[in-house]
Amino acid sequence: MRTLMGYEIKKILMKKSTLVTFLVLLAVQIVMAFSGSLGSTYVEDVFYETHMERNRTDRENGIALSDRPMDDALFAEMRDAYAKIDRSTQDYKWTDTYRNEVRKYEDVENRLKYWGLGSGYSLDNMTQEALYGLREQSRDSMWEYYELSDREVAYWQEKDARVQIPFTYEYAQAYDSFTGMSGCYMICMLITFFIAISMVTVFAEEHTRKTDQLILCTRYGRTKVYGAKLLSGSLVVFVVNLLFVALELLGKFFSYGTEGFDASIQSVIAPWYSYPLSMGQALLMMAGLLLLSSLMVAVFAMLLAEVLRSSIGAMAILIGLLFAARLVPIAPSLGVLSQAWNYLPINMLKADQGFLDMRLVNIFGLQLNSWQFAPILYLLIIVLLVLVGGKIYRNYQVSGR
Amino acid sequence: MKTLWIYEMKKIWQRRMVWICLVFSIMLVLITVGGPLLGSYYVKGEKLGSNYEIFLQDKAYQKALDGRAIDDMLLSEMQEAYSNVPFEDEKYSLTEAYQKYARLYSAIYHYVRQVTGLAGVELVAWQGGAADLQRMRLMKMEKSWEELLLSDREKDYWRAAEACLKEPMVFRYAEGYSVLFSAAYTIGALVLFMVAICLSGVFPQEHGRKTDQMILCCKWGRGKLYMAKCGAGILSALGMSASLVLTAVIVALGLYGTEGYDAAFQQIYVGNSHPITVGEAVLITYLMILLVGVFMGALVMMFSEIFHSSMGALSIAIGIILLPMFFSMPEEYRLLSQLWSYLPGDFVAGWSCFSMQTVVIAGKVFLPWQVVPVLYMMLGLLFAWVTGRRFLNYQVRGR
Amino acid sequence: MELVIDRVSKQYKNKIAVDRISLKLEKGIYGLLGANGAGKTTLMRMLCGILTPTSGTISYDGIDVSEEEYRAVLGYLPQDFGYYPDFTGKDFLLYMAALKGIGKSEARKKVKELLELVSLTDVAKKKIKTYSGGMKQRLGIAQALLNDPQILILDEPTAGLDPKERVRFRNLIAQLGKDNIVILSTHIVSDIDRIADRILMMNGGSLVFDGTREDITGDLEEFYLQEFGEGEVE
Repeated sequence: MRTLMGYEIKKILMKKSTLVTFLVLLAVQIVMAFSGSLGSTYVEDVFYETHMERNRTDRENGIALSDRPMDDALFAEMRDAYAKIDRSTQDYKWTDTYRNEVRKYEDVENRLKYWGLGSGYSLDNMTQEALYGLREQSRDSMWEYYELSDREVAYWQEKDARVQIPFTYEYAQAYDSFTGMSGCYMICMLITFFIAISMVTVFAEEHTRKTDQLILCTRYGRTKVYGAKLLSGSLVVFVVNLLFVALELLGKFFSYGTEGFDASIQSVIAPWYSYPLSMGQALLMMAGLLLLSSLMVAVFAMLLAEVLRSSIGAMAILIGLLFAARLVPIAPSLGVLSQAWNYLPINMLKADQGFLDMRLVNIFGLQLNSWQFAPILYLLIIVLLVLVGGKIYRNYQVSGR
Repeated sequence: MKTLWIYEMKKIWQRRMVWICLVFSIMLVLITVGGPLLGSYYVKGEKLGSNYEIFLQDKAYQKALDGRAIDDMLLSEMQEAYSNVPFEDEKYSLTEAYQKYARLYSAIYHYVRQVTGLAGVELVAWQGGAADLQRMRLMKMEKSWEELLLSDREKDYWRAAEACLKEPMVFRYAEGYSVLFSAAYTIGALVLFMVAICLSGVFPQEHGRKTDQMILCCKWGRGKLYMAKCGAGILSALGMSASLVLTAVIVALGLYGTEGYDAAFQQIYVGNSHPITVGEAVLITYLMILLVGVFMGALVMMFSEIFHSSMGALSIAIGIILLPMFFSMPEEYRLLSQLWSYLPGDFVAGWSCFSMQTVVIAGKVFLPWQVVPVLYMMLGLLFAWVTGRRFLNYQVRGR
Repeated sequence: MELVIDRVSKQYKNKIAVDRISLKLEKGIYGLLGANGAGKTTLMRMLCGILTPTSGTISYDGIDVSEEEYRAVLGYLPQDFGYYPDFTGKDFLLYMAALKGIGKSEARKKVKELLELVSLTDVAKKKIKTYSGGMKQRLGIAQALLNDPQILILDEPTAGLDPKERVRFRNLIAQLGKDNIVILSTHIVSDIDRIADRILMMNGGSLVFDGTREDITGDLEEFYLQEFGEGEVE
């Protein structure tokens, strides 16, 4: 089996299109991973600082402020600080007052803005009560948005009771970035593209090259070869994916530091979310889902090409799905269809879509949320594809030429 | 030649893949354009109505305001109506007060909100009038021109364009065009994918099927055949693009109505200074989509003949399409970001087509939708020349 | 050693490609003749297990054609087969050896022998895309022999070979036919004339002649043409 796998991997890697695609995507991934450290900030067309300097300053400020509860005391401190500068123009950024006394609160202010300072509130009138009241309102809105049943609401209420209020500020820029659109989501895109180019020929090329008649009449041609092909393709995708994830983590940690593993997800990206999850846990889960989902997509691509006997057809479908997932929104009012749509890997790895989807799945009385059910679903799909694909492969008839 | 061309067209359109792509793309166009009208609107678990019913109501309200200038009178009417709305309630849009008084003026409210950056009680309390609105809009435009790193010549151009805009702006019901403008990005991307997938095999299939050795030794097997293939490819690209464009236009205008062609472009794109109407903007955008589709056809055929492989050509084409969809060039790199916006995957979007970064040649200002067609035509000719050279000099060997 | 083909048929929609063929084959060389479209390739594919008969069974010493054990003793050279252009000749044979379940060290030894047998030793490390048509055909023959097959099915094996190579190949087949079942399909009648122990002729999916060379008086080619109603060759 190992020998067969070795040859299958060789066939995959020998293709120019695979190699070129890998190298181009690798270059893109490296740039994306380290993009936080590239470039400079300008204030009214005048050079202000490099992004590396910015990151270092923000990190120092963030660490100094970490472990502070986001409460009235902090807001009062921020109000006092911001009162010392005039923000009607950009000139304040050049002042020592801003640099030494105000800038350190910017991350907190940005988060507060994201949570709804625009809804008739500003830092001047923000209170702990108002903020967490807003948080509750947006949480309840999300429950309505997802059209949750009473049972689901009860589940989230129980989880929500364990969310620590007030939130504790933690500097967690690396985790924020990894779980955002430029992190996990982007890697998923790149890997899907890689799979669409390199995996669709694993089975299909035997038919186009007419080597299928040689292979299928050999001893292992209908048995071990099937497994060898699937395993080889999966291994290549797994290794590439792992490499991209490793580069991403390296880039993010290099740019922003490793602090923030324990920051609550509510305090960084999703104040309305009702599960007591940390950013570090979210990162690990998303990375795991990324690896597992890419295996599923790889198996799907390989077998789709086998069923269609066409690599272009399989590639078109994969890219079409990727494209549709990005551009076609399916509203929660469309029920199961919308929930299923969010389990597509590209949607699942979007923190504000699939990963934090609040609809539950009930399995034998056990209520599972999206990031609990997704790995089970993906594994089941892999097993199903392998079984069905095996049947199709074993029964293939060489005819018509 | 005509016979050759017909056979080449047949070779393209006989493939199952082409029809599957076409049907799938048309379905996606229908979902994109008509999808917002499907399903229902729920609040607190209660069905408020179907999205279509909500749309019909909004349409009626907007038509009631159709033809009215966004002047001081209309602004005060809007503010008075919105003064009844309990903004402290996050679900204010569901309250009776909103539904009864404010909803009628919601289109005006949203326009003013975009210009002023104010919302809720602040907007209601705003003391400005139509002239102030215009002034604030101009200030925003000036700021935007700075951020876009426009030259003085360009700024003068856009100031002159702003001076041509009718003030105060007249509100028109133009939902059909608004939907088409928003959907252009999706439809353009579909066109690009479809053309790339369907035309990637025009040349390589001869090599893959080993028919090249028979074809190339025929009298017309090099010169005329090449022209026939190019012609069939380009016409097919045009046909595919036109199918999707027509589907979108017919469905959108059929569902949302054809009214509002002469609405000001700024009604749907506040931060833009082009002195054109909404209808003209949509017309230009969709003509650009047709052009981009043909360009992609030429590009993918060129790469397919360079690599003698449809997979190779397709990977590059898809890379070119996807890249600008997911990565953007920082605007501080003016030239790079402008060129980036001319990539097919980006240019199909309205914001690139009507970008205010222009090309100034000999003191004359040219807009992106004027520059890009010329650029694409020149590149298209280059691609055709490269493809021709490869095809005409192809040597059958190595098998 | 007995290959039993029992009332095997293959039907596609309105066309019967193979029509109830029954044969019992033992050690020896079986020459399969027939016009284009007679069903020879279809029959061979069924014998290789890469095409399932519509009805009937195929077994070797009681082992059905669909089983792995059957394929373990099978060697097949298709009429128009593919290859991996960037594989070297040696790589290709080692890959096929792995598919046939041959261990690595044994495979290396066998590959070396076969490359010598088909005179490809000098180009073993060159990529297949650089091979001539004849070299590719010889490579195909080599892969069919990797597992010392007891059933060897050859579809137009001498296509692309020059006369000298054809003679060498014929001698090789004649040698193999002494201890194994060899089914050889070809349009080159003289190949069958010289080495076949038994001649099978197919027409329209059916077996129209099954006999030895001695059963045919006169020239085989003339007999063939007469059987298919072509008259005498001028």
